[in-house]
Amino acid sequence: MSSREYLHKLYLLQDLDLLLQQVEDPEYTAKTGLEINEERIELIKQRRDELARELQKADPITYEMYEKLKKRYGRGITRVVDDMCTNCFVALPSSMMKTEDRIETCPNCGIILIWLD
Amino acid sequence: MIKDLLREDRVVLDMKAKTKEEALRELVDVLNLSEDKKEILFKALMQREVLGSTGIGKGIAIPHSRSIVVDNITLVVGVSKEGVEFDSLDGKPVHLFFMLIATPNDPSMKYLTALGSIARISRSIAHEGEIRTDFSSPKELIDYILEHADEQ
Repeated sequence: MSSREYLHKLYLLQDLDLLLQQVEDPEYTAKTGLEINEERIELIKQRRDELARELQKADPITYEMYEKLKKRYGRGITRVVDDMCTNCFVALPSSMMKTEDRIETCPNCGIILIWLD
Repeated sequence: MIKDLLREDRVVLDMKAKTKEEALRELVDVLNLSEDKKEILFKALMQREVLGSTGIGKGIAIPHSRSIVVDNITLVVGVSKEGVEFDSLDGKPVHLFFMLIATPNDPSMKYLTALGSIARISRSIAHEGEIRTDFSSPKELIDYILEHADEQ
């Protein structure tokens, strides 16, 4: 799997994690009144776990990093916007170039970075 | 807060979509994102729909998600004169869409508060009976929404 493909799959994983986090928050149902199909939560969890296994197998170090960062910040990957990390809002060193050829992390907070056009 | 999220350039007055997928793509298109970002957002919105339709009934839907592709909490409003099949709770087609997207690191309270406000506005609009779809300008639609926000 190329780094680009890995990164794209990693934020698909993060989207699934954010979705599960959202619907399992009791405030969510209380504030919106929206009904959640409990059986389908299991379906999303299965999708999430399948994707996680694939990513873990392809690059266990980056996958473990994602899980650790998620525990610390609630997310493991973030976008670079205007040469700034959108997790800690610290400007990245000018030597850091936009890339999808390798996995880059923020030198300040350690989160995995992605440049999206 | 809803007032701050409503923008005339984030309104579709006459949606062409006939299906849920088309409706979500049409709403996402308003955000002028790259094709990559559009696809990411579309997938996130569809994943949420798997858990139960955000069509709350009475012709209104509130598709929503957190997503890495936006820089700020973002609302797009769409109106469909003909209605869109959206697997709504009451099986009725949807005429009014509120699509809310928050960044992954937006404080939960801000996102949920906005979602809650939209749900209350939706219920207030639904309470009136038939939903208006005859807006001649984005401003007219925004004013209509804000009238219902004022009622709370």
